[in-house]
Amino acid sequence: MQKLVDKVVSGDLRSASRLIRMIDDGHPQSHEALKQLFPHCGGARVIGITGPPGAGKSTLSSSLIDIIRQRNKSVGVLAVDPSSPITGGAILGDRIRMSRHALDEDVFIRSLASRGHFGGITPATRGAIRVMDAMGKDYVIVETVGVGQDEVDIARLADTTLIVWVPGLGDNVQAMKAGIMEVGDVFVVNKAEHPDTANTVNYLKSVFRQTGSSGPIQRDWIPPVLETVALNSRGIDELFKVIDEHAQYTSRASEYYLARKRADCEVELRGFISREINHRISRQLADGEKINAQVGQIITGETDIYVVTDSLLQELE
Amino acid sequence: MKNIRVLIGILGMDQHEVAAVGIAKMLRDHGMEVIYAGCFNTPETLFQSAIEEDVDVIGISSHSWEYLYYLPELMELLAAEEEPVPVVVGGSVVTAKDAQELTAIGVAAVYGSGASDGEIIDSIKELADR
Amino acid sequence: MPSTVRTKSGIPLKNIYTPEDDPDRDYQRDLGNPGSYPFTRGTRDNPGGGWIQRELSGEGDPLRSNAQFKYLLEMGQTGIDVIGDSPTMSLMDPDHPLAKYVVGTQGVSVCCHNDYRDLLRDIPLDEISISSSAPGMFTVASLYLLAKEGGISPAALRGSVLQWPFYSENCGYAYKMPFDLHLRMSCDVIEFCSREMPRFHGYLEDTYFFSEAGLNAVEEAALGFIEIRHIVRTLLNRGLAIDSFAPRIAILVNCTMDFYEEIAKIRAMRRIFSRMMKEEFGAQDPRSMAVNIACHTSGLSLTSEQPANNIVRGAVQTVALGLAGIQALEISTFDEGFRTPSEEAHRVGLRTQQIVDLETNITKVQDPFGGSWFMESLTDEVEGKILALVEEIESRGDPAELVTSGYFRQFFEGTMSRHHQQMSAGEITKVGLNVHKIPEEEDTLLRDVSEVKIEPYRQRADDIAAFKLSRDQAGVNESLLRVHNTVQSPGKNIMEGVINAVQIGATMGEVIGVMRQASGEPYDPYGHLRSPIEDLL
Repeated sequence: MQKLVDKVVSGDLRSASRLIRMIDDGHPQSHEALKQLFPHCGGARVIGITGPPGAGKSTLSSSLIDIIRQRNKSVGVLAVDPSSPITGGAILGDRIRMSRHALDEDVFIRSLASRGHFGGITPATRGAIRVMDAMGKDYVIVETVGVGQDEVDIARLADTTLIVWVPGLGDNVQAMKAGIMEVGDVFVVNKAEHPDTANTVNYLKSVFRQTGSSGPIQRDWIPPVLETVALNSRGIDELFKVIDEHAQYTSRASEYYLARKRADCEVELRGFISREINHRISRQLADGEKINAQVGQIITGETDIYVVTDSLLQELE
Repeated sequence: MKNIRVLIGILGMDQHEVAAVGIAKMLRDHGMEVIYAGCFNTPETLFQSAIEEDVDVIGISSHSWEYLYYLPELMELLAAEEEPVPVVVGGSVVTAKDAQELTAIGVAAVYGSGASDGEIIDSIKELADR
Repeated sequence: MPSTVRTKSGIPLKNIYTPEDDPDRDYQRDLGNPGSYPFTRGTRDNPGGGWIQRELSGEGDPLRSNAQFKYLLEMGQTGIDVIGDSPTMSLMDPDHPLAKYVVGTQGVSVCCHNDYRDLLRDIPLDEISISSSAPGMFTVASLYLLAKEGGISPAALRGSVLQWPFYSENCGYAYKMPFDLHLRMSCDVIEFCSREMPRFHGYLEDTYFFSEAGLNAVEEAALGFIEIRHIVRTLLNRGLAIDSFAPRIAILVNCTMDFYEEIAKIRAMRRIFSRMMKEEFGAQDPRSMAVNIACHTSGLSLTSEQPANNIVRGAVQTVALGLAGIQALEISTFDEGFRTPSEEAHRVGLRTQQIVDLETNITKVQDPFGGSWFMESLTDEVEGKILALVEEIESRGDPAELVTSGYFRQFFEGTMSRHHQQMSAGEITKVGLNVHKIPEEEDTLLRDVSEVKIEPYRQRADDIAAFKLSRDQAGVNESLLRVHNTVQSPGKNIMEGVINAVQIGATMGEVIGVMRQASGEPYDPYGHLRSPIEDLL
């Protein structure tokens, strides 16, 4: 394990790729590996990109990669797409839109399936970010599909979160009111060749004028609203400038930003603990003729589910 | 939970996607994670994608003879790896003789147009388990 | 007993049809004689019967393909149908690194005016109709120049080029350019042809290629009409009169083995087209309402197993098309599963057409199904379903936006997957593939011909590279810059600049590259080449 970790830290692609797989598969040793990697993390700047399907997130990522590479920086990309809730399978096709970077050794693109986790951000996503970070990537771009809770997750986790929108999607602007307005750091109206662009941009700007400082914590960064045409890289320089400005802002340790980091850490910690507890419980129970036997008795009416719950919990304690 | 990860791609200028898309969805419906690389791949891009994605199997769909030239190049790249990812090939243009030649250069399985879903799934599962 | 038998698009077929199945027929309103509105029974009164008989050709370099045309014409072919190899179809020159193993193996490699000169050497352009699937803008430019060079009026040229701005990217050959630019190219070609080459179809709506993504007859026709309608609206918005270009719209359809439904589809499409042009777009010239329909029989309907069986499939499809009435036909040849047609397969394809034409009298009676209780009710049903699907898709929003938002990509992925599932489940019966199979070692008939491979024409890359070095580069660059600037001037027709550029020796890859650049795209979307005018911009 130490050897694998050492190789990841030295930037070895194959080892990093293998470790991400172990994390994704819930390999028992992945926790230990991450523990050892952790001291090597913190160097990467994490950019979250989220928005509805078809908004052009991968194309936008691809354009951001261009700029990062022009600056001679390295980048990892995590493209997260939903797994089928029924079969657990997934089709992950985001690489196609980033194909021009396929042979660039300083660009590491990894597709991840959400594997049953609601929302794009899974514990594996966090692990994968840390692997890329520990490898020495200067930037990690995390791309998730999302409308709703997912954006909130990614926004807590990323240093800078881009919410990507397209004009003319009708009711989507309404959907934006629900939560995500508060968490996006930069709003990108992509496909800005569309005639409705100005309306969408003006709408967003007016919302921020009204609600810019709302939310549970006083917000001292009013999210800029930018127009891009990612397909031909229009507006991307401007966007990256804003991402840089946001980096400056977060480095000043604003109260808002720190609170967000605290919240993210808490979510992750609680997640870890409850997962571990669940594992332990199921290990104790699922060896579980005990459960089977009790279920049998509940069904036949010899006992009831409440009594059984109490007695099993007592045993676990 | 270990999910099988398969890279599906088409090489060169071949742009017939019917089979590739059909297979990708079929594999997804059988619980696999398919990294769909679409068209315009070269041996180098598929090789690099396979490593970055840590896939268990690479599947190539062919509707043009380009694979005859590209596959030896891909197999050579993979052979230099410690644990080469197995490669499978499918397509109606692949004749029995081609299949023999592919097997000779190390292709793990070749599916003709008559291959059933069951055959393909079983063989991919078996290759992924190795 | 099997459950209800249905056509591929899901229309139930009954064992027997009676007058009750077709109660309210109004002959003039719904059918009309062949050649009369609403053209259900045929585009024109065609007493001789028959169609332009041709086989899809194009292989290797232009001279090799020229030899193909000549042997096909000697065998009795009455028109030329040519397709480019996959680099050509994707607007790529043969010296592009990605093209190296596929030059000339699946069609002809053509990328400059010299190539067209070789391709059409000794072909009487004022006598033979030339249908080209190679990129329309460049085919038209070269045909126009060749006519002038040969002292023929471009107005005498006949044939067609396909336009596929909606679907090429998703299931044809990728142009790797913004949709708006592709649409503009198409419209510029159509506008140019309507003016300069009035007998030539500058707009062949090719529903064949995308229907091979597993679409049924209704989906094929509906998506075709969606594209036609959008292109027509775009041309009308340019200020063109409907009657100035509508007569030059033709449709190339698919024909699967679903015999009756394919006939009904063609009849329904003629009726839909004529009513659409007249009632919705205000056409007054009857030629605007009568659409020529050509057909390419389905490659997807054929099998690699027992390839001789494909000859029978081609014959059955030809009979269906003879009964439906069409203007031109190519049969997918028996070796389709393996390769572009061999000379032997070409001959069989052509002979199939000739047998149906000359031995059967099938073509001597126009629309023999007209008035059939069954066929008229099926035609109505197919028509209704096509119109409903057009309406359903158009209600989702501007069709152009559906293209860019990926709606059609999803549509095709759905049909591809459905086709796969139907095949896997044995819902589509294919003799030799999923029933009546024989052991591989016994499957030898016509295999030897079918399995012969064509070596890529590697020499072409060197030849074209050498050609590029031999040109007046300053002149070429100047012409490319002009194309570039025209693209950046909205409202200007690109054709004139393209004709000028190809005349001076610019290649297709170069012209397209600078057009991409002009719209903010990389010159080479595959990242290998540098624009010749990079330093001039």
